[in-house]
Amino acid sequence: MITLTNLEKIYRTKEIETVALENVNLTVNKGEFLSIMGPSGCGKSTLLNIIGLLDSPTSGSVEIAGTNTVNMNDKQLATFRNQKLGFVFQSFHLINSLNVLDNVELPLLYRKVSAKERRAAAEAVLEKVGLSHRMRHFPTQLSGGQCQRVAIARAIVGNPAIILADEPTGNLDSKMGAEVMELLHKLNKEDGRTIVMVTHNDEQAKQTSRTVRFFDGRQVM
Amino acid sequence: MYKQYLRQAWQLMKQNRFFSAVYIIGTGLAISMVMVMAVVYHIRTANIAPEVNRDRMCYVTNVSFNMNDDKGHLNSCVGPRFAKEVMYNLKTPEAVAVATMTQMMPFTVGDVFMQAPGHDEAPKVSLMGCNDQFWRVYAFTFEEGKPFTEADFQSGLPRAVLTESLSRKLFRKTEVTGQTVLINDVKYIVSGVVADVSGVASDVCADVWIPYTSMAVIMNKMADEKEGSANILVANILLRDADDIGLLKDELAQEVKRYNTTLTEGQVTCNDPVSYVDQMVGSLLRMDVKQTYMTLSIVLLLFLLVPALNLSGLNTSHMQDRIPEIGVRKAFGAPRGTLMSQIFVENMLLMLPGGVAGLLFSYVLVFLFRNLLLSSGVFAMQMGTGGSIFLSAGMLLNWEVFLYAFVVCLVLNLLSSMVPAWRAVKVNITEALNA
Repeated sequence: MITLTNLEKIYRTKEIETVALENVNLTVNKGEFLSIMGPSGCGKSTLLNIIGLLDSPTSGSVEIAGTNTVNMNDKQLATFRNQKLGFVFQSFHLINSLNVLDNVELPLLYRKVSAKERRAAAEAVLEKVGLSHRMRHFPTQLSGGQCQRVAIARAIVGNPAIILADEPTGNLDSKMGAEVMELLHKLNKEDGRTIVMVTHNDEQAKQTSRTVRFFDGRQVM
Repeated sequence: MYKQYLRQAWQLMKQNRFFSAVYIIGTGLAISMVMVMAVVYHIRTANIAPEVNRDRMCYVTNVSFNMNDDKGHLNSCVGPRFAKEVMYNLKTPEAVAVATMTQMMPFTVGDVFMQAPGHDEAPKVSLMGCNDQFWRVYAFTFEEGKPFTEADFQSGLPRAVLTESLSRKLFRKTEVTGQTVLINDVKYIVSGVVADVSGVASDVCADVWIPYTSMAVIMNKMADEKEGSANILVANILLRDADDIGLLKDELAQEVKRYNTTLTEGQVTCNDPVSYVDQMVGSLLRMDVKQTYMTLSIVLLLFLLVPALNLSGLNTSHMQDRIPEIGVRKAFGAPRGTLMSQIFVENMLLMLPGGVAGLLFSYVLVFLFRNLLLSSGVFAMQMGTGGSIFLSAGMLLNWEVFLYAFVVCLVLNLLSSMVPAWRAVKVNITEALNA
């Protein structure tokens, strides 16, 4: 499903050069729930951003669902992200000036989907994450766990094959974190979605199909 | 999609009340300055009663009589003989209104006073001599009676049409058809009373209209080749179609050529017919019309550019706060163009209330400074020949003015929001998400 080959990411300024990722070769299979672990600054989020086509590698290739994405232009990348990928961020990144329903509809806004279909799809996924009673609320009126569930609903509303989650429980207490993890597992097992998750939590990583660890930009196991 | 943009913009307005208020007020002030110019332009150039055919009007105002053997020349306006033998012969126009030039009246006729017999009041009035076609070319509202007829005009009968307010001043009523009035002690019979005419209708503005054939000061010159050709009249020509002006020019040249064969003391030249807008706009900066429009456009753009820069600063700081949102939208597949159009639509929502406020403020400014902005010129203001400037709702509230306001909002929005928006959407997604 995802194949990274000889991936390298170097941040260059006038004075210094920082190697964020070095010679990363990784394959994520369809339907797999992969967790990425490692200390802060080891390149986990950079890797997730590159897989999510939010950032480009300095060298190497990123192949997703059989498509080499390296030479895509901005517009092609945007379309690809919109159709194939869903994102869950640590700090939710919900838009506070939109209500829950509008937040969830967001990915469909950039497809040729009618307002009626958008609404129906958003309502269905909100039902799935157990927030159908909060559709008209604004993010500032929700708890952290609810916000992350809205974020998950947004990530899956466009029915992407891959969900990329960057420390999805990092800002939640243990109870809410467990709820969110349960939801992600459900999406993986019941819907067969491929999930790549960055986490610091060993317990959560153990529950996933496979864990890869990074240290100083290198994959260590 | 746009519905959601507007919903979000409305929500943002509510969440950032101070920003929204400053933005709307700033926009309003910026737009009002430009809208003053737009409203004045509209009042000056649109079809406004009684000048309801401005789009088809053109003018012959300058006639020169060049005496034989270089003995001298007379540069003036149209003379009564020239009007009769040239202007009335033209076939291209639908009608030719010939009237005295308001600005020349104080020099040739002097002050004009009117009095109703048996009444003490003898106010100074603005008099206009005209022909019978004048009433066909211009749409006056007759409150009482009717205009003088062609026969009245041809015979030079003393007939007068008064404005409603003059009628009230002289008779304290408007039902005065058939009554006698004294114009500089000459008896005239009132044939009709019309609604007052605002000074913005500079072609026709007066207190009283009489057949110019009844004015000795003009008709005494009929037999004189020089002053019969060049005198104080103007020909206000109503074309069948605005594009006929070229045809009219050719026909007029032919008629002038023929007219010259009837003269023994000299030869006549006259200006080519000038359309209403060309005359109005061209006289503004004494430039070619295209150059004038170009200059005005640059001035308008500069008028907008200064507030646009200020609003752009506000937008930049506002966009800075929204960079994470832009990052999220881009992550979920929003192309740059879509984001730009979203920001444009959102800004337009803020811009429009500003536009409405600006338009209303511009109405107030136009009303307060109407004499300065809408008078027929400094000369007319000094001589008091411009009539009183009053504004009707129709002059201000119409779709053309609203369209101007909308276009100004659109331009201001483009100038003020697109650079900050472009800079914001260019930010790398990961940087935007971490901003």
